[in-house]
Amino acid sequence: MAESDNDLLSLVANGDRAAFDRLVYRHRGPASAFAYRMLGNRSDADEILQECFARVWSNAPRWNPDGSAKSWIYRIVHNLCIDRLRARRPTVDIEGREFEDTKPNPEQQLARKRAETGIHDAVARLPERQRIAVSLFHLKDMTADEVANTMEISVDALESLLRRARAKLKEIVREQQPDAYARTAVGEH
Amino acid sequence: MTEMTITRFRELADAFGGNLERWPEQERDAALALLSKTPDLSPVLHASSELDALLDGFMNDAELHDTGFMRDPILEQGGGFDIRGLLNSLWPFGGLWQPAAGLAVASLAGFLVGVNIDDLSATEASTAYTDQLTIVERALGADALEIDQ
Repeated sequence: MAESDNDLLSLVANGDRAAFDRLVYRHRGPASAFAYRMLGNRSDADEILQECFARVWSNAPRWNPDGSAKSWIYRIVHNLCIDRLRARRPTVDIEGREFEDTKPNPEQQLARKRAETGIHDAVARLPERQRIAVSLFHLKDMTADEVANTMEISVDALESLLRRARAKLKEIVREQQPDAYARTAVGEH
Repeated sequence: MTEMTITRFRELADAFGGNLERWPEQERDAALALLSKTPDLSPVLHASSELDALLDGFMNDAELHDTGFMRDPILEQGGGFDIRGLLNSLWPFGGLWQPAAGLAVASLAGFLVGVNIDDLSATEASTAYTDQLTIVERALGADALEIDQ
């Protein structure tokens, strides 16, 4: 049976480096994606990821085993991203900014931009708390309870954030891609 | 199990999307029960799944998972002798309290045996003294001898 995140973090708390490697391997991808979607560029996301796992390694002995290791890890990423956003100059506004692309090939960049611009822009235009809720909730394998735990809010509060965010996203995507909406009737019921 | 209405089901789908497994745990069973009794609700989930697919793709782009993460500088910052890692490698079966408890029990058992060996020695010494006394009594004509004790 696969080790749970809590099992791994308990081993990390005892200085087990192999367990740390397994924990990093499991979460570095989703954590990196979350940081990138929050901050909008690769270098900031990489710095956040490095700092996050440095804190996991050094603070693991202080982690409360009664809690969720996964939520604890993503809360660290979340808090680091918030700090980074707060530290940015007020003139730099993540909402509506151009996200850097991660592909070096210009043709591929263009094709990808066409496909993703809609949802990129839509998410970027959300208020910060809604953007965090949506980003965390759509990370691989995250459940509503884990996201609420990560954001340190109630499940009811998360529901409210997600409902408003998704309603706004449907509206924005509908404006951007009326043909697609006419074809799939996204969100209509 | 909480009461689930069609209105509430729609609210949850609007908020949490079309995958019931991601809904809050406290609502899930009731939602499943209602869905099994009300097939008309399937399109509600399907409609929410469209936006889910867009957002899942947005968040789980494989390229975003490719990071420049470096582990060694992190592990080096711990520094020093990794005693806990060593202990875990010596005892990879879970909590370190188990071998510690075993050691404590063995120590206590050793202590008790040691104490009892002292008692045993004292008993043997007493028996030897009695035996010697008996020999002396017999040598001197024990039946007639009165020993003042």
